[in-house]
Amino acid sequence: MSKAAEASLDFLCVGLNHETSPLEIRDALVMNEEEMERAIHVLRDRAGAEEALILSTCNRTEVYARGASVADLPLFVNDLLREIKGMDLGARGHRLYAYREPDSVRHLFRVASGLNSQVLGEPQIVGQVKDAVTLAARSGGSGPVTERLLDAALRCAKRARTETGIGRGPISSVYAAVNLATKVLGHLGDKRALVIGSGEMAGLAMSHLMDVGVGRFTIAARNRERAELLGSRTSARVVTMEAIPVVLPGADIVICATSAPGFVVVEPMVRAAMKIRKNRPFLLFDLAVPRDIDPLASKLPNVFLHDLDALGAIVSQSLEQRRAEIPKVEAIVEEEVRRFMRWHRSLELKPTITEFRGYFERIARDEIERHRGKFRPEDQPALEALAHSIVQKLLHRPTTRLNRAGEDGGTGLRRIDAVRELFGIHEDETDEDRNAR
Amino acid sequence: MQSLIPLLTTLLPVLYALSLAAYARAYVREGSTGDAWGPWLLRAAVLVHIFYLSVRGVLEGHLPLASVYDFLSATGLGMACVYLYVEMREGIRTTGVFVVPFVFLIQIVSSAYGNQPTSEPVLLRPIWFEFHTLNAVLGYSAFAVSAIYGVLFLLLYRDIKANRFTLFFRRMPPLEVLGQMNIRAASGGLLFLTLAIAMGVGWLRRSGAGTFSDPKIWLTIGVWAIFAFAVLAYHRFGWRGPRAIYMCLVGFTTLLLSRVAVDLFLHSFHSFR
Repeated sequence: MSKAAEASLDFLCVGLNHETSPLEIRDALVMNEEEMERAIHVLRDRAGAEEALILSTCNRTEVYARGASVADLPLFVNDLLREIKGMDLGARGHRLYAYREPDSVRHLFRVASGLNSQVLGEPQIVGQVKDAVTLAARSGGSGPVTERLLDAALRCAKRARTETGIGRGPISSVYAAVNLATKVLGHLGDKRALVIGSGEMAGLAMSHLMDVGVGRFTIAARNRERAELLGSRTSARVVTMEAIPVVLPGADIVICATSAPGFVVVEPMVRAAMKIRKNRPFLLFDLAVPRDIDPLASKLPNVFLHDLDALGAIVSQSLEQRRAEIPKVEAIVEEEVRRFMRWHRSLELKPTITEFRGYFERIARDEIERHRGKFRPEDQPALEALAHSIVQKLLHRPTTRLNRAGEDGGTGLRRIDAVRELFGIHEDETDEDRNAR
Repeated sequence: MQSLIPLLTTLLPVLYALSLAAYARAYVREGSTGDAWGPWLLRAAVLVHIFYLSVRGVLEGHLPLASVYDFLSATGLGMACVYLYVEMREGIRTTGVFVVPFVFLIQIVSSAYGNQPTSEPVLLRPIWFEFHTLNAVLGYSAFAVSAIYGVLFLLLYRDIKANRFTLFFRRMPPLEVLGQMNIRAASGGLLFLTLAIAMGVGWLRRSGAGTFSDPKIWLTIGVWAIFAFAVLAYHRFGWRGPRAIYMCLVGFTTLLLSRVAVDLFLHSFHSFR
């Protein structure tokens, strides 16, 4: 560990995201695994970073590096992106943002918690952070600090999800439809779904329904080939549009997403289906514009018809509720940043050695005190000198090795961390920190 | 033991009120971690309530069901027990805020007016008649809980149909589950009422203390028939949604009206006054 690293974390985040860059730039900079591995190697070899991590998704490309020896890391990352992705951001007049700790730590925690996502609180980011951790470990980018940092980031994300409502409620129309179906029918495992249409929306709806356990699908579509492709994931039955009145009564949930100019499902069709269904609840979701299902069907008892406007209202409400949770998540982020920075400070060498030696000297002193009565007063100085000498001899080798930790980079940090853990040197930590460890 | 009675009559509404406050807090605060307070306080209230009625029973030498206020108190306890059973079975705590207020109101009325010891009515002397009354109380309590779930079902049904997605929508269990809760509570009520009727009829035949032409008997059999049909329609004819719920609500309304009619306008040999 260098002297500078001893004083500060030297942890930087450089990148761009949906708030600072348009989609065309973000798209052009998305890295695949191979490119990310290459970038990590470049950061370690050429920028002298002791630890490095890349987070590259459709909404962001961010480089996290610890202990880089280059003077201008943003410039270096700019060159790196030009080299790997062939895009010169400088030439386009585009600047990357750069944060140094504690802001870089805070930024990572905010990203992992979904605060920095385009769709507030979206859950995919947690998986993307985990993937970045795995990739960094595989390509030699991770080290004791990033490992701890990413653990903390994932813990922060978990706390945000469980202690606040940042991830609550549907945030897309299709997901809102599935949510509503669950709200009416409860468990969907034994329900049948009829998907009318074979486009992207229909596919998305099927995926969401499969996620909540629906296993039996019928697809009605004009394009049979595309419908069969869509249905191949679930061995769905594929029928023509003309067969809708026949298959309608057997479904509990109907998702309609065609580009037909008129109604595909009309009220008499639903009325007839309800008779056959013995009036069991019937969920109809119209995800099409113009609408596919006759709104008159909603007047029938036990028929729940919802179009994009209704589902949009649920989505807006969820987003509003999520926005109200931001202060709570920010508080969790701040708490985790403080905890992480406290941990990092505990890794400083000098205090660790002082506390390590103090621990042994305290034991020697206590033991002398405990047995003082068993010795003559004139023997006391000799006893103290003996105890001191034993402690000095016992500690000589570990202290020398520990002193060398300062020159061993990541291995040295691990050694310091292990000594603190082994001898219970956590005087700065709160109970919460200890529980988290 | 006598000195315990005023303390317990005061403590009971307080415990129900605290439980209600905890349920209300958890209902309003979505994702609240304090969810468990309501059920625990309600359990505590139920235990104290059982203790209170037991003390009354020991002191008075008979089941404390001799006055309308005793009957109310026992019905409140029954409702709380039925609710706790449904809550544990379904694992849903968000409906407590709609059931516990009724228990609280019933108990506060009972505590305010019915804390004086009552002499044993002649009717309650035979043990069979005591069981008959106890089963009737449990049956009515279950029907009351069923009616509350029925109303919740209708409100949620209306909200979903009208695309109104309020806090109520978010906090309620699925419609299908509310329907199940309604019919389960009604089925439990039906079972207890069947036992109550059977015991009552058996006792009447043996004792000859009253006549079968008593209006309360026929009105109760009418209520039993309505609930029996509702349960049968749900299980046999696959009735779902508002139709099944309305059936149960008609049963409960008939029950309430018949009790009022019997107690105020009709002459019955075993009415509570």
